[in-house]
Order: sequence, then C-alpha cells, then structure tokens
Amino acid sequence: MEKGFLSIVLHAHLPFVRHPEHPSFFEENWLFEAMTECYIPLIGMLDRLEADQIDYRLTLSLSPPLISMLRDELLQSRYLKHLHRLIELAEKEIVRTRKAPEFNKLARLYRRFYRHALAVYQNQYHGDLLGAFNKHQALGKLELITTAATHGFLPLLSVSEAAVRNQINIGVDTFRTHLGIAPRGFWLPECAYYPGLETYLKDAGIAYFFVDGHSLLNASQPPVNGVYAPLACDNGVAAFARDPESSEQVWSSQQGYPGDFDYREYYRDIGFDLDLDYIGPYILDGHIRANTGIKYYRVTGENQPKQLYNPKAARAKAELHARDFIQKRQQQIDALAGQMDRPPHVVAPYDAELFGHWWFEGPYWLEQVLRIASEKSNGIRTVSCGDYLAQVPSPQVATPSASTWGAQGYSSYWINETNDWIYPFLHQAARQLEDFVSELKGVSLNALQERAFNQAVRSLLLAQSSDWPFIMKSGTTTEYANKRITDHLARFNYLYDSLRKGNIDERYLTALEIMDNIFPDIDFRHYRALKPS
Amino acid sequence: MLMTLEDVEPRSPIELTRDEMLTISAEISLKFSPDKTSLAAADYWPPANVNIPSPAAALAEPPQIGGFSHLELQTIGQDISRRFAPKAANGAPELLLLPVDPHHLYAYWNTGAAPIAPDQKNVQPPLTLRIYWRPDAAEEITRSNIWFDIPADSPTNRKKVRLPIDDTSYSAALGKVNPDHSLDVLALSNRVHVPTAPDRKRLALEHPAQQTAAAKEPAFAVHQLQGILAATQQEGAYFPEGWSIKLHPSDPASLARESEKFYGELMSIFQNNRIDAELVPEAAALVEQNTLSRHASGLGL
Repeated sequence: MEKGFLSIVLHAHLPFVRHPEHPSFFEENWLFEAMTECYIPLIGMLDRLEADQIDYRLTLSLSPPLISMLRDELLQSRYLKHLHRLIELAEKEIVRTRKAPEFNKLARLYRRFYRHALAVYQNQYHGDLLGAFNKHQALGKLELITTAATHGFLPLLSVSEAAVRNQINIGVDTFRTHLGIAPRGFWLPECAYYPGLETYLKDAGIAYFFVDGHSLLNASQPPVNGVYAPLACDNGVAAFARDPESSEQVWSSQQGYPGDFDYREYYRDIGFDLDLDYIGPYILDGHIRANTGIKYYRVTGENQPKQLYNPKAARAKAELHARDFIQKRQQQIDALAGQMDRPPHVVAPYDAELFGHWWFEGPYWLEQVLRIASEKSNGIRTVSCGDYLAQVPSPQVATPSASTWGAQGYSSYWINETNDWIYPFLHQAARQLEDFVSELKGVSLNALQERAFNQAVRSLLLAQSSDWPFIMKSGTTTEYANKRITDHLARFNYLYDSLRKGNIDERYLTALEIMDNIFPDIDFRHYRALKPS
Repeated sequence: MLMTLEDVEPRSPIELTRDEMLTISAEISLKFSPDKTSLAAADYWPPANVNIPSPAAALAEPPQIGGFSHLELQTIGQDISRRFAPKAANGAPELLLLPVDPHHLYAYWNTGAAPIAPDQKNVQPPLTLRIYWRPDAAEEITRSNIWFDIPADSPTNRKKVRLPIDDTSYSAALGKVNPDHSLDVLALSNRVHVPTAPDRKRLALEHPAQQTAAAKEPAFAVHQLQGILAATQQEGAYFPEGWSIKLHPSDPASLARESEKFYGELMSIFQNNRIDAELVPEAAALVEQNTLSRHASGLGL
C-alpha cells in the first residue's frame, strides 16, 4: 500500500525556430540538439520501460511550437541532414583520436549514440517523434499535456483577455489536432499564474495546472496540506504546486545532481577546443565557434584541469542519485503522512531539455528513478496529476496567489530594463487586432482577406512568446530575440496596414505564410473581445 | 628538388580529388568499422541497424519552397521589417500598469503628443505619475484613497514603481500637478493587483490576531507601513533619504471622525522614520464617479 504519490512532470518547449528563408540557420540547432540529446533518449527510455513492463506514470508537457516543429517536413529533413553531419563528425573524431585510446572510445560512443538516434528517428518512428510519445500515452504510462500557443507570459498579456484566451485555446487546439486527444492538464508558461486565469483554463476543458510552491502557500486561504496536495480554484480547476525539495535536488547549480564531478561537462565541447580548420564545417558559418555535441570531459570540480569523461562512472553515479532521490521522497512522505488529511503528493516538474541536453545522464537517471519507484516496497506510487485528482477527490478550495517559477518568484525576469520595451508594442498590436476583428462582426470577407487576418494572428502570437524577453534578460542570444520580436511585430503591422487599406499583396502574404507556417487551422474570428476591456 | 607523389606512384586511371578520397574513407569507416567498445553504454545505445546514405547524396533540399527561393523569402521579410518596424504609438494619451511583484509595478505611458524637442523639455511643466492605493478594489474613486506622486521623467516613458503595500490594488493617473496638489489628468490607468509578499503571509500565519484585521481597515494599513517604509527607504529609488511628506486628507470631516487615529499613527510612523511629515487638511473636490477626472485628489503621500 502506497503512503504517498510522486508526479514527475517534464515540460518540453522550444521557441518556434524555423527559417525556410535560409538554406540553414543556426538557431534551428536548438531543436536538433534537443531532439538528439533529449527527446530521442527519452523515447528510448519509455521503450525500455515498456519492454520491461515497469509500472510507472510520467507526465510530459509538449508545447505547441515544439509540436509544430516536430511535425514540420522542412525541419524533419534538415534534422536528418544534421544527424548525418554529426555522424560524419564522429567518424572524423574516431580517425583523429586513433592514437589516444581513451578519447577514441568516447568518439566511438558518440558515433554509436548518433547512429542510434538516427535508427530510432528514421527506422523505428519514421520521423514522427510525436507518434512515439503518443504510443506511450495510449499504453497508459505517459500523460501528455500542453501549454499556451507560443508560450506567452500570460500575466503580462492579461490586459487583453483575447490575448490570454487565444494563447490557451490555440495551444489546446494544436495539441488536440496533432495528438488526437484533449489534454487534461496545462503547463502555465513559466508557471506564471494570476487569479482569474483558471476561468480560461476551465473554458478550454482543462482540469489542472501547475504553479510554484509560494503560489499555494500564499493562497486566499492557508493551504491545510501545504504544497503536498492541490488546491481547487472556485471553478474547480486544480492547482498543483512544485515541491521545493525535489526541485532543489535537480535544479540547484550548487547542490543539484547534474553538477556532480562524474557527469559530463556541458561547457567543454570540441567546437571550442579544436582547430578552426578542422572543426569549421561543423560550427557556425565555418568560423564562429559553437557547440557540436561532442564533449570529452567530465565536470571534474572547481579549479582543476578537466578530466576525461568516464561513462561507466557517470552511469553508476546516476543510479546512486536515482536511489537517493527516491529515498528522500520516501522520507518526505513518511514525515508528511501523519500530518495530512490525505496521502501526500510530491510534484516534481522540470524542463525536459535538462534531461540529456544539459544533463547528459539525465534520461538514464530518470529511468532509474521510475524503475526504483515502481518497486512496491517503496510505499511511493508515481501518478499523473489527473490520476491524483481521480483517486483523491475533494481538494481544499482556495485561490492561489499570483506567482511564477522564475527568479524571485514573480514577473521581474520577464519585465525589466532589458525587455520592458516590448510590452507597449505587444499590447498595442493585441488591441488593434481585437478591435479590428470586433468591427467585422457580420461582415463577409474574401479568401485573401481571411488569409491575411489569420496570418496577422500568427505574427502576433509568435511575437508574444515568453522566450524573447527571457533571452533578452539572460543575455545569451539577445540579437536574435530582438530580431524575432521586431520582425513578427513588423509582419503584424504590415498585414494590419494591408487589411485596413484593402491592399493585400498575395505574393507577400504567401511568403509570410511559408515563413511563419505555425497553426495552419487558426481562425482569426476568435480574437474578438468577449468582454469590455 | 623535392619529389612529388606523381613521381613515385603510377597514376590510377580513376582520378580522385582530396575531398572525394576523404568522403570514400569516411564512408568505409562509417559502414565497416568494428563496433565493439568496452564502454558501459553498450546496452544503452545498441548498435543501430540503419541505412545511412552518404551525407553528400542525402537530403538535398529543393531550391524553392512553395515557389520562393531562400533569397526571395529573405528579401520580402527584410522589406517588411524595414518598412513596418514597430514604433511608439502617438494616438490618444494612455497609461498602463503591469504588476511585477508584491512591491513593484511597471507603468508605461504615452502623452499623445509629438515628441518634445530637447530644448523644449525645460520649459514644459513636468509630468507626474500619481499612484492610487485601491484597497477596496472598487472601480470608483472614494475619499479613502491614498496616493503618492513620482516624476514621470523617464525618456522611455516607462518606469518601475516601488509600492508601499503588498496584496492590494493600485491605479494611476498621468498628469501635471497644480499648486493645490490637484492633478490635471492626461491619462488614467487600468487597476492592478499585486500579490502578497511571502514574508507578510508567514507573519500573518504566526500571529493570527493580526490576520483578523481586515485589509480595508486603516489600522491594517498603518501596520503595513511600518515595515514597508524601511524597505522603501533602503531601496532609495523614489524616496531618498531626507524625503518629506505632506498628507492631504481630502475631507476634513473624515479627519475628525474614525480616521483620526489612523492619521495620528501615520504621523508617528513618519516621525519614527525621521521623515518630515505635515498634515494639511484641504477641502478638495471629491470624485465619486466611475473614473478618475481632472483634479482628482485624495490622501497624498
């Protein structure tokens, strides 16, 4: 008999990085790297757990931009090209390291890793990773959920109810179109919640969402069970809170598992280490150094020369850390069980891309966690939040407090001196679109006008992504983020202007439809205001 | 004289370039290299049975997508970005607030006028942001309002504002302050709610008696101000050391009734914080309608 429940939730999201206007584009590698190092290894993990008939439940949030990119033929084709280049690079590395046996072993490991990825992608799943995830959903092991259309930061878009409503509804519709099922859960982008958001979620058929711990602790009523049981908002939609302890164990840069000295070092990549003449064909424009994915060193420790990566030791450490993770959950649940009026529920959400991409051993660790958790003697049962609501009904009713999972727990990472300039433009565009669509009630449009309106909505949605202000604040690829948001706003302005003037250039419109081909089934009529602002 | 390879090796009838030889070599290595390793990961990524075409032959992208070349798409994208780049609105004046955290909000505004030339800035009356405390969250303005002013002097027309009280609502007006402290209003904002500061919630839970004081009660506001003033002064953004305050109860009658204690406690808090405070009752026009209007007035901090 289990004493408590554990929900592991992975949130898989990348901004829409598809650039058909270039023969190849560096930022598309964000997707390709995540596919190779994270999504395909996670599918491998799910396949092995299924083959071994392990009893587990895992939740995976798939964002609409990611769903769209995984199903996009151009990106699928470019991904195959990318994988072939990686295999080619691994081959060259095997030749280059032939006189250094320890490096050579690792080069061979990378070749096998990439060839395996190719086999899974091309032969086993025929380029359809969504189909692979959906298979495990149908088998009852994986609960798939989704998030807002372009991962818009909803509290800062909430001056327009149409903006929030469309972010949520288009996200849910995209998921339903590609996965064939309706999601029960919803990942709020950046866990950003404000009271009232649950109304839109309920209207979209959502039963539960996630918030950070302080959102429940500061709820309208003190939570009787702290963060270890959900709260139901007044309309019945449930809010589950992130457990700070299990979060710290994985996320923390100081105490977190991924920083262990035996794990692979992300920041030592041959793209930065080897001669430009040699590595040029595999980096940006032949001369700008970038990660290739081939890394030979382990974390090692501070102020020491990096030592060679030892996969065997890393895997042993991952097993140890998996056991430690489950033991700590057991201790937690044992301590909580006597104080609560229902079985404790520990919710452990993480960015999916941490597993495999940033933390190379992450998928292996997760596999071991799920295997260990499935042992009956543990007293822990892995569930999805949907399962928990079905098994433990009648949650306490209270409204969570506004919050995010970002630094300081609120919105300051997404609005500050680096990125605040975007909000007047985003709000202005949303207002213009809302007003324009409302004016059209009862007006019939021709096919070209309808296409232009739909494309204007796509442009606005793409501009609303939380990724752009996040990147501007983090200071990594700010030029790209600035360009993306200004380009999408310019495209919106162009389409708005064309529609207002009744002067639509079909050639330009078609080009925009090709470049920003996300959400093909969108209907601009949903962007009208339902309530007075 | 150095000998070349051609001097010592008979030429093959098939001529290969260096790149072609590299491709063939890579191809042979790829397909025929022994695949055994001693790595622990052998069972984790089993040798893949996959048909791998040579990279050069694989996956050539069509030169056109939907009838457009890459260059044509680029050109159209660049043309639109150049001609329709986002620019600041200069329509009707507007002011918008966005909640950031329990003690901050963001305000952005436009004055509805063409940008002021630098040499004209000094002769234009300065604009002010008047931030209203809205504890009742009601849409109408009532005499219980408390406000404070900050200069709307940011060249970007955006400002982060430090708030004295968490878990409450605020609205704002943008305008020019008159000598009698009334405001010539250019634009009115939306109303926003900022969440509870985690520390205060914990305090309330530890001291349930305090929690029972309704948030609308003046005594509650006084209690909040005590801790918050210290934090505000530390931040120093808008209330630097040595700042002074004039309280302007808009309804002298209210001063004589239930709010007497409230104002008294406020004054003592300011004095304890070495803030020069003065109580200046005035009979300003009360505003009871649904929106703020010109000469809006309240209890100004």
